[in-house]
Amino acid sequence: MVGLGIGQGYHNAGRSGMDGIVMMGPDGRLKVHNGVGNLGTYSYAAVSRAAAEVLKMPWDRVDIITGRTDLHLPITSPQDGSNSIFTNTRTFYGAAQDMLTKMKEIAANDLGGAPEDYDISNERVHQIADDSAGMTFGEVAARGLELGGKYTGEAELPEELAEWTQIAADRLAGTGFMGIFHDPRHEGNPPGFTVTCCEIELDKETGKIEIHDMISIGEAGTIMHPKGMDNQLVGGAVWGIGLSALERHLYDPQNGIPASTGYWQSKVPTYLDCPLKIDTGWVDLPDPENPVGARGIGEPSQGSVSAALTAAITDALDGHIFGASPITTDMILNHIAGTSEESVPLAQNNYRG
Amino acid sequence: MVATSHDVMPDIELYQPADEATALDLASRLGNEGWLLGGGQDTYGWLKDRNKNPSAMIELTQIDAWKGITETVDGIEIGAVTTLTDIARDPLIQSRFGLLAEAAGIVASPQIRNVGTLGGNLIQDTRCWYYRRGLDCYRAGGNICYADSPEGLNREHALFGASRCVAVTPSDTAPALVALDATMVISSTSGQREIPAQDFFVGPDRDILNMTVLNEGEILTAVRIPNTWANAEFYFEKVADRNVWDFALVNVAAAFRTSGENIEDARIVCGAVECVPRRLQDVEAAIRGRSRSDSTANAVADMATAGARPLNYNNFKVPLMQNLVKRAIRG
Ligand SMILES: Cc1cc2nc3c(=O)[nH]c(=O)nc-3n(C[C@H](O)[C@H](O)[C@H](O)COP(=O)(O)OP(=O)(O)OC[C@H]3O[C@@H](n4cnc5c(N)ncnc54)[C@H](O)[C@@H]3O)c2cc1C
Ligand code: SF4
Repeated sequence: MVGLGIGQGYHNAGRSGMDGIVMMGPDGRLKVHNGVGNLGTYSYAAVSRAAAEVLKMPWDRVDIITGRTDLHLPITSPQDGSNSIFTNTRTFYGAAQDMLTKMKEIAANDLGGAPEDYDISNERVHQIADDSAGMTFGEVAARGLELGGKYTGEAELPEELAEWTQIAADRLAGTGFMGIFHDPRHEGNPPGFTVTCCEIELDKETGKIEIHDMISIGEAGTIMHPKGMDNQLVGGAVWGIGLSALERHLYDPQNGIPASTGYWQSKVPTYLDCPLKIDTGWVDLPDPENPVGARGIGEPSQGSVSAALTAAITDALDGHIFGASPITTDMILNHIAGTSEESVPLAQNNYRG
Repeated sequence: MVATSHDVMPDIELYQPADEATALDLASRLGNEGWLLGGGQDTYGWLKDRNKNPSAMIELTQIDAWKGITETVDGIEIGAVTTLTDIARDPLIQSRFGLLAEAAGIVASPQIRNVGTLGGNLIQDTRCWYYRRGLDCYRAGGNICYADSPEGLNREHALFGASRCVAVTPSDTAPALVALDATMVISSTSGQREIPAQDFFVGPDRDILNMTVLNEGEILTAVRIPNTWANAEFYFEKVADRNVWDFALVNVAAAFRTSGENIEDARIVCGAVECVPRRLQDVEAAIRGRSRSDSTANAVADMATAGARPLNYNNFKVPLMQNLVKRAIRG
């Protein structure tokens, strides 16, 4: 039996209220102090690029300071809830903007004119009218160190900095040219959306399903990294397949023993349980609330796949709704054989209303 | 459970005999304390969880005499230490006993098949999750069955042959070898004995602690397959939750000899429905003289599961087993 399903996935995909710090020494290298994690997606690197872009820095001139709190990191969001890209590009963009403003102030102070008369290119800050009148980033940073005060984090820090960031800023104060930013709270909830369509074949004799075709389209603002986006959509799909067709969380109710332990009993999907190819695509419309237009997508993609697959199973079974997930071989066979009534459904603690 | 470090291998004396005599001698001397080791794919799980704690292991994989596939006067002989991958890929087995090649080729995962041996696959312990967890159930020498209790999670358990224990045979190659009428060659210091595959596996009514007839000190050294069913029409199918790295919910291995349209003889065996591979002799008899068709299949479907006693959560195995038998007959 063929079944078609369409599902939509949603997850709030961004927060605010975090802080960003960037530093620069006389060597002119940009140091992004970054507490964002790395669950294999290198999010700390992705969000640091927002700072590099503001200052038009080549990537190999940027150092990401990360991994240990004693390296003086600002408060950043945990790498969860599909929020990293939105939340932390805002803060590092903000911190780099602060550094840019300070660079223009120092240049105007030393070379004349107003800060608005200055622009940056090739790691120099220079007059718009005459780009020979300027300073290298390294020179500006050295000058900032001489001037001290707000230029080195010794004065005029943003008022609402988190306590944690405050500690980091205090320890960094005076050691380099500093850009620092607190992201003010904003209203609303940046959504990540996906839509998945799939076609399955359900074997009524074995209760097994095979996914023939699957496509997931994401709406996550500007796509920062197409390969990363594709990975998020495909990875989420595998997760969704597990949620809808395989992975049960079972406990022996009498003895309270977990039964879904280990990779065998927890039934995470394998390559052979997933379609050979999962097609992906995206809308790529910039998010107005994010300086680089981006929003997260990690979680929505599993939701839409899970919903589409559940719907496809229902479609293949003439509209039968199980009201529970995952829908496993035994449930399908019991339904088809009409034995659902006699057989006690296996109690499971996930996704049962 | 006792808190132990699971980060290191437990302290075990490892023996690696390179010839048959030494291995048999060790097996006899160490008895139940000498855990026989094939590819370790069943063993290591037990050790890792600290739920079996042998003091010594006798590794069999260095004994060349117990490896490989050879042609004999009336069939083939497979060394018990031959890997499942070697069996699945062997041209002789593929051409003559495709049923076994298919069964061996669908076991677990490529990694497990690369090291798992035929002997280990046949003798592996049941996968009842309560027992594997190290609970003191009947099979572990205790006096309770956790699976066959009012709230026990017994979806993977037996339809037939319950006798205090309701665990099932986990092996994919076992039903194929019963269908092919294989013989198990068992050696010990006191000689060799041969047992038909069908009698090699034992249910809990006979021995609740062991799944085969092997006694202390005995080693399965070879499996012989007679030409009786060579080049027959075969059917193997396994249904598991996942398509790889998973045990059968039910599997079926069948061999048919036909003449013209009609079935002259057949052997149909199901796994994962009883503690031993379950041969369906009534069905085999009922389909003789009939064609491999829908109508034959439908006529014997109920007979395939006659006597089944489903537990709380394994009702689905009844239609599943019937459907697999029907598919085997239809071809
Ligand atoms: C995640 C997972 C999934 C699996 N899925 C499947 C599956 O789908 N189908 C399936 O059939 N199996 C499956 N298995 C089981 C696996 O195939 C077997 O564990 C493997 O084949 C055992 O072979 P081995 O040589 O590694 O055995 P070992 O672990 O070395 O031995 C297993 C047992 O047999 C005894 N033994 C081994 N050789 C001999 C011998 N020659 N004489 C006497 N006793 C002997 C050992 O003492 C031990 O008790 C799975 C295992 C895992 C971990
Ligand atoms: S089915 Fe057998 S192995 Fe499982 S708990 Fe019961 S007695 Fe133990």
